[in-house]
Amino acid sequence: MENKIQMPKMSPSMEAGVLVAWNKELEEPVREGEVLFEVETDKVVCEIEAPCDGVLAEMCYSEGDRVKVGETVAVIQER
Amino acid sequence: MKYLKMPESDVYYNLALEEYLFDHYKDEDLLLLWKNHDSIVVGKYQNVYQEVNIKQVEESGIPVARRNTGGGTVFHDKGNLNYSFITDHDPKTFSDYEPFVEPVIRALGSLGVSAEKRNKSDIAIQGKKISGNAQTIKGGRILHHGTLLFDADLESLGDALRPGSGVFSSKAVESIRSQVTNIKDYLREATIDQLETCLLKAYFGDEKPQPLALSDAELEEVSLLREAKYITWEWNYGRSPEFSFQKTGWAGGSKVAVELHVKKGLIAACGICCDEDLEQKIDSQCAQRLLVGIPYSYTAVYEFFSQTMRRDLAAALTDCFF
Repeated sequence: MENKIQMPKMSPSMEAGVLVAWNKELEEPVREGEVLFEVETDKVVCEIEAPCDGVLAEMCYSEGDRVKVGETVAVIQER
Repeated sequence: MKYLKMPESDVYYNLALEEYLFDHYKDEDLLLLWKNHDSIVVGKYQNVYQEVNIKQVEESGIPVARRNTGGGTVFHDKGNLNYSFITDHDPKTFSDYEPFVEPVIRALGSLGVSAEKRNKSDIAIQGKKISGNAQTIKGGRILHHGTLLFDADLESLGDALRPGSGVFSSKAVESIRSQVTNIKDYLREATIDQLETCLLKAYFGDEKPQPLALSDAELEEVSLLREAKYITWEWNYGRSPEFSFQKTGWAGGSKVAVELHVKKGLIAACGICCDEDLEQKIDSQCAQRLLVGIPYSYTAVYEFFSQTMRRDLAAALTDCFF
């Protein structure tokens, strides 16, 4: 089953965030709670955790990309 | 709530200690006060090569450290007081720096200094910046930290943070330069220790500040984190986002155009264009290939060229790379 992870809306006024770092590589196994990627907005860094176990099947953006809230950033293929 | 006046002045150790406390002390609010010996601290997602004068930094041996929060590059010395506040994250106040800088502004007020919050995350006195702040959020906890320029050497600040000429192209977070000033210039008489005392009063109020004491085993873990992460070239330089660099300079009487692509701090691709005479002297076609994989470091590039040519020519060529 596919699990899509979107750019989270971290505050009521947030419209987009910068995907500053990937912590996992394509096809790498992922455990629930592990940091998947990091977002920076207004000098605040947020570590976004994987919501489930699986494999990182898709990385939709690269480091440095500005991503709108709600857009899919990663897809985890659940095992 | 507890507080800790960090005893060491080693920027790598202090960053490791801050991370350790953020990850392991999840049940209480912590206020940390710390000062570092002369060092440069870059934001987590910055391109260090774009922010500092690499040649000067390598020659002077000034430590360059990457922190865990966003934002830009700052220069630390013993006249700069760092403060960190660790507490539960309230999503309602996301990216609202007000709750965290308000006690600092109050502390300065108690010393007779009128400061105000400026832009989103700075504190200023009469329009000049005295404090930059940044945050990181993980697992329901927030780490907020900031600098306080009390009596810092603002001249050195300028020199070290001025990269050489050349054009960078990257998606890295860039620093925003501000006019800065020292808090001491607005006080008749006060020491950095008095500022610390005022900060403790502002955060603790009438509550007696409780000091935090770490066990030997915990301190050992902090040292290990310092060795494994904060002091490593891989973290401080290698974590820079990939980038391109272009520069035109002079060496051996010829114009030299250099184009580089750097990934994880290593030269990934290199182009050198110069006139025929110099091309033969330095075998630029061969150099372009052999430079791939070498760290993008002034010392490393200079050593590379020094193996096959006179030192003065090697130095002039290396200058074209930075």
